[in-house]
Amino acid sequence: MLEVSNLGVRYGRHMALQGVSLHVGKGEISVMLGANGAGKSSLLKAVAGIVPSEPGTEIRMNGRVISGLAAHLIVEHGIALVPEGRGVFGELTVEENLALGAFAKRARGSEQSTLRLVHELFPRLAERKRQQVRTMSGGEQQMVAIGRALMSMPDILMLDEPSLGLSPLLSKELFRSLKKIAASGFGILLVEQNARLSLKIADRGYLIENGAIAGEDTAHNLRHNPAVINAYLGGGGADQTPAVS
Amino acid sequence: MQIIVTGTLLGGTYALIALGLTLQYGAARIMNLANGETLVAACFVSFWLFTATGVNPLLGMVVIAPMALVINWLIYAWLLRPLVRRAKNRGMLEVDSILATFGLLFLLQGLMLLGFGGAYFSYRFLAEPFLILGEPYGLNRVVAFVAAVIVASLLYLFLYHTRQGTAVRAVAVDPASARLVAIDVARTAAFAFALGGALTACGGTLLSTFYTFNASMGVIFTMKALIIVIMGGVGDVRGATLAALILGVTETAVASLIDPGLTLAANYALFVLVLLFRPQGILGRASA
Repeated sequence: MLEVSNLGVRYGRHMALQGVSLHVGKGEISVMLGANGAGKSSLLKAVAGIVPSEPGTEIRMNGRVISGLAAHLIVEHGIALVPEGRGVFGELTVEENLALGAFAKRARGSEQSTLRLVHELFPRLAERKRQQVRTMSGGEQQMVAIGRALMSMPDILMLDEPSLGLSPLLSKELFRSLKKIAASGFGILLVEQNARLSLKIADRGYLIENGAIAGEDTAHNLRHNPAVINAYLGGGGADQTPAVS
Repeated sequence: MQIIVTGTLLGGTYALIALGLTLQYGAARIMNLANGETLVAACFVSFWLFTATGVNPLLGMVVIAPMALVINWLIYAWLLRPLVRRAKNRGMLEVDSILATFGLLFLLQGLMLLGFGGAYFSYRFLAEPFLILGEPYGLNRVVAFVAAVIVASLLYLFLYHTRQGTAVRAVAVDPASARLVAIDVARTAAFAFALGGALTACGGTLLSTFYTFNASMGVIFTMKALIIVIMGGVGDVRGATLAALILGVTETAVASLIDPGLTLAANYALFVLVLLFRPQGILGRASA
């Protein structure tokens, strides 16, 4: 569905990403792991059209080239981004945020059924319809952000550090919701610092280092790869099965 | 009591003018100092329509508002979009747009002075008494107030109960996030600017039915609108409406109790008080 090839992103003279290629399929969860500043966020922003990509980049969605399009047009191709810091409309109500999520022409026809799906996933949003979003807790705002993104009927949902600032309990709940979302057919591209939780729900993972892909494998293999355990899972931590490579 | 009624009737028209400016500033991020020129132009067009062709100003509004919409859209596209494109941040756009529209103010004012001279104009429309609580008020003022309430309600319905209107508010609160929900921010901002111009023109049309106007008074109304917008809180439709009523009543009270020459001074006294004590607007919340 989403195919990225040879993606480059440059901020002034600094190359944030170089020659990055990856793909995400329907109903599949892919996770990007990497240190701070490795270029994970830049990757999502480039796909969403918020930062420009270098010449030579090709991003295709369902076979159509979307690299170089403006951000609001990329949403129409079925890609929704939940940015770091959520990007919800704090002054607006929950209901209005979700309705705006369905602003994309591709989503208008099915707005009511998508809304039902979002309310099933996050019953809290149905209860708090008329609440102003800025008065809600961080976890609830994250639900609004994800709900709003789903309202655009994306084929691929991209999330930038969704668990940032959430308690461990809320993070677990969030990842359970993501698993459910993928099960309803949405593809997910996830950037996360919480490697342990994200590898548990993911199908595949990419390792990103200094702006380039350093490795790619199934989530299961990554969880048992000693190099990954050392770098991202805190040196053989909770996952007690010995790494066999 | 008479002061409150007269002030409220006046405030209705002020509200429309200020809603125009608040849309232009809140959603399109353009502090349009030439806003008052749209108002004066609308006064002259309704004057001409009424005296030359006998068209009722209320009917004239149906022509004037779309005209103002198109003209303001063109102003945005030709004069302001290049500034929006090159601005690196909101502050830079603010400075550039204030300077550009300040220039535009004098250009438009000069053109209107050329066309109409500096004389004062007015026409008699529904200049008959209308009783409210036993006191007579100009029927034209009452009609202007009712029309202002209708136009403002339509705007409210649009902003709060339609998809496009909600998109305008989304662009006002967070343009960076608006594009993530497929909103074309550039187009929506242009539309908000044009719509703001149309509202101000409606205000001008209504004003001309009971007010004596001339080609160079635009800037006074821009300042009134600015005071109302800041009093109400930038981008806050409900706050602006309330602030407009307060301004209308204050002006009327000062004019009838102290001296009509002091209305402008009263405007600014109110402005200074608001800036000192409620800089976030009367209904606004303190920023964290």
